[in-house]
Amino acid sequence: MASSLALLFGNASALFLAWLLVDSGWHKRQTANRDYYRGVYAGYGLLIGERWGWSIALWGWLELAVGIALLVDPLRSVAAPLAAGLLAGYFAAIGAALLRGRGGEDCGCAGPDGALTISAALLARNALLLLLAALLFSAQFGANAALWWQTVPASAVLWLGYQSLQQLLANRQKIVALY
Amino acid sequence: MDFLLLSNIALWILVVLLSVAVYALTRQVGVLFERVAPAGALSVNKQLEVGQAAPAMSLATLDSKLVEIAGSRASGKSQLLFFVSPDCPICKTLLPALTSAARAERDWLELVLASDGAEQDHNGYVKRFNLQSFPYVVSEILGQSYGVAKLPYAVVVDEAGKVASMGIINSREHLDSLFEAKERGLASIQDYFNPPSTAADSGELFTEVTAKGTQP
Repeated sequence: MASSLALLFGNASALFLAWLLVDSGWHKRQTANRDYYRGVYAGYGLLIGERWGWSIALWGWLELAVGIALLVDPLRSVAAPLAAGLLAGYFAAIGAALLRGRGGEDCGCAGPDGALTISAALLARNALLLLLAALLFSAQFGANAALWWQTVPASAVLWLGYQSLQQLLANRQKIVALY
Repeated sequence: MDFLLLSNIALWILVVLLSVAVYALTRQVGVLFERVAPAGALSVNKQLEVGQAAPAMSLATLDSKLVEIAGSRASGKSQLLFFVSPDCPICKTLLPALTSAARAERDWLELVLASDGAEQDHNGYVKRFNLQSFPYVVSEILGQSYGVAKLPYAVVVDEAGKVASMGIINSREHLDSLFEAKERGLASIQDYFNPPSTAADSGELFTEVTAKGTQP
């Protein structure tokens, strides 16, 4: 029973985090977004010179690769710690930025189209993502095919919940700006 | 299929549908914030700048009284110069809101209606819209001195005789934005939401805040 639940949520989490990393990587690998990300990273205290701009795309490719690897059975054992490491790194970066008084600056979370800013609420959101990443270690890919009909809707719920959370954070920013 | 399996399927469908509904609601709230956000008055004036001394003058009203525009006034109140014209349709729709706002803010604000064009029926206009309780000035020089190019236009002059805020007014919200800008000590309400460095680029009150995408 417990192992079935672990499989269900582990695989649902893998599907969701795969989307998260692929989407994030997709934004970073686009040449048109390089200047935007250079600005965002500068806000986090990481200065990237113009001639090192390609490293942003490389980082994007890494995220893409880790995201896809989460869905490939033999690679998940390598991809899971990498994904958890990436998320832990982002969590630490947001926390450090908050400690340095950089709250309110663009977090870079939604690419150039988004405008979510660094805040304690964003840090809490990333803590939830870390929790999901921890579930990756409890599941083996495709261990029980019968569970997949539940895994897909569960990951859809995770995705919808994440999008709602993002939207609530965006709404909160507007409320703070208005009053 | 046994009952547990069927109920499990039904519950999953329900959970997904509920999640969709929650997401749709959060999106709608976001869209509402975009729509109901206070719209700032469009501040276009090549002659005056916020913070500079407003041109002071004494002018005769329609009922032959003298009214002091800007400068030092005995009342010590701020002044709202509202430029209208009898042939301006938007001015007509705004007058009820304007007079209501002027009454609501009378503790700190005096409304002066300004127009030009001697050939126009200003007296009839004042009677038709019950504007007798507010000074109504017909002066071309006043409009020119305040750089009024389009109507309806409003200028808030503070107690010290300086321009506090100004802009083209198309709604009660625009009018309120002038008061809000004065209260906050900003040139316009746009400056509050988009500080000057970014406002100049976008020219919009809000940059759209969407919630998509992922990590830094």
